[in-house]
Amino acid sequence: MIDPLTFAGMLIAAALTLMTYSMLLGDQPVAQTAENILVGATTGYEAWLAIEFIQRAGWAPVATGKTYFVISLILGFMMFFRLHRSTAWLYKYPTAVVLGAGFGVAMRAAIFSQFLDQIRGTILPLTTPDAMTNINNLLMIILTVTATVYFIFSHEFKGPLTGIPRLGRYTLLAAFGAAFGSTIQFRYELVVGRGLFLLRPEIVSYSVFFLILILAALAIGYKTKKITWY
Amino acid sequence: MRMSEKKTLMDLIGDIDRRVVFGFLFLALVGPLIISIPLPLPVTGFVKQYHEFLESIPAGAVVGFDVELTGATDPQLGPDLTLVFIQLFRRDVKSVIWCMTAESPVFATNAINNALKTLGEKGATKKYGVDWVELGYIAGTETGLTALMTGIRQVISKDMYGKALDDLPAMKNVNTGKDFYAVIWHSGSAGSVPYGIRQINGRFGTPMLVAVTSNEFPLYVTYLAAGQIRGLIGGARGAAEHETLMKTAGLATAQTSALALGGVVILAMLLLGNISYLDKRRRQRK
Repeated sequence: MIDPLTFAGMLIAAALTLMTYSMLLGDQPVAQTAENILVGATTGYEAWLAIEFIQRAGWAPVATGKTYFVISLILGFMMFFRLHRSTAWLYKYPTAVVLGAGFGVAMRAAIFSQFLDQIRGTILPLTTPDAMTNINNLLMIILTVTATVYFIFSHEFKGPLTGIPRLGRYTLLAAFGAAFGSTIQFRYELVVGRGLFLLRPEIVSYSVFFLILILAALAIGYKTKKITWY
Repeated sequence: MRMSEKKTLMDLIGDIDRRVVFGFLFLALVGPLIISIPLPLPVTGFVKQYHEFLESIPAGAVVGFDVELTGATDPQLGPDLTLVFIQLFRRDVKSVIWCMTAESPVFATNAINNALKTLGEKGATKKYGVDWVELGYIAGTETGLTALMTGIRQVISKDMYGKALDDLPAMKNVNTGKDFYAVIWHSGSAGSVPYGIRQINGRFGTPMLVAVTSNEFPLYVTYLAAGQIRGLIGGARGAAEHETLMKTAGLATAQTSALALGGVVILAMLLLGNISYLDKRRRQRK
């Protein structure tokens, strides 16, 4: 049994989902309303969470005697100085600290994780007992090398060697194709996920009611030319 | 109207209104949710490795769990998140959960509650603080994670419910990234996997499992090949494969036939669009 508050939340979610998807008929006030509600609610919720985090990880340590935490609170507050032109220069200092720390932290580990380990990952055995693994490993080695060779612009490949960068280009195209296909799949999964939610037995009748209501409102809007059909 | 201006079937196909395309897609995606079309679902090596690693975690071990699901990615990976918690609770593995995205703590809590409900009597024996701890939202993305993995208690002294970490039995002997048996990174589409790998596997050598949405899946296959992660779930399809291995047909499995049919429709549209375009070009050349 769903409690009334959760049920009300589900009904609001169903109505807003259908209102958002009405965007597919064109940009119109019904979809814009849902969009504005989403932006407002998300901003409010995330702002509250951020304040709660500052209280927990910034203010609480200061209150318990770790006074050096006050530096992070001051730097964080300085971010708000960008809201006024005369004080905007002050926000560059916390930004510099954030960027510098982020860059330093990332670079230290990136050399190993994103460079050396990835290179090591392409040095694969070709004589395992499983023939398919051997073929996969061989393909991985050849395609990695040719894709890298494709980016050597300072040397012109002539004769039979022209095949190497060409194979590299095909490898990259195949990778882009896989990424594009996966992106389409991702969008489908969003729709299907919402579809599953709308078809939940507890709310399916309300979903149909909301759909009819939205379509009727849009039909009236288009008919009376209050909304432009394009 | 002259005969030459008459639109051919190919012209009509090429000029089809986008709303009609949306209509076809809607039918293809929602239809199978109403009328079930069972399709075979082979389990890939990525998911098998993911499942087998989870099954190999010894009872009593503590795993770190990054949850970054949001409203948009919960339908795809939410079912798998619940499934992982079921697997961990069933095996008496303890978990410490944190979220690098502000929206996510509520999704982690929901998944835990669903897992406990599914486990019935076994679930009723699980206690907060003993079997799992929720640290809540940790700001600062990579720098925040680095600080957290260097010393959890230096970043926060209390969990998301305001309880002191030192009072929670699951947090005993856990303070850095190397104290975890493994880290499960349920990223959604937050794009955070590379920094997770950099700051956890790269620094401490802690094994990692990753679940991402299908659009990010191809990006992380190389990490699996390099051994930096031990298993990979990609979107609802990967979650459905995990459900198959767990012998539970859940929400992810329900999506697979709809996704397959959607794929067929988009392929048909691509084909028709290209045929229409080539036909138009051929006639212009004549």
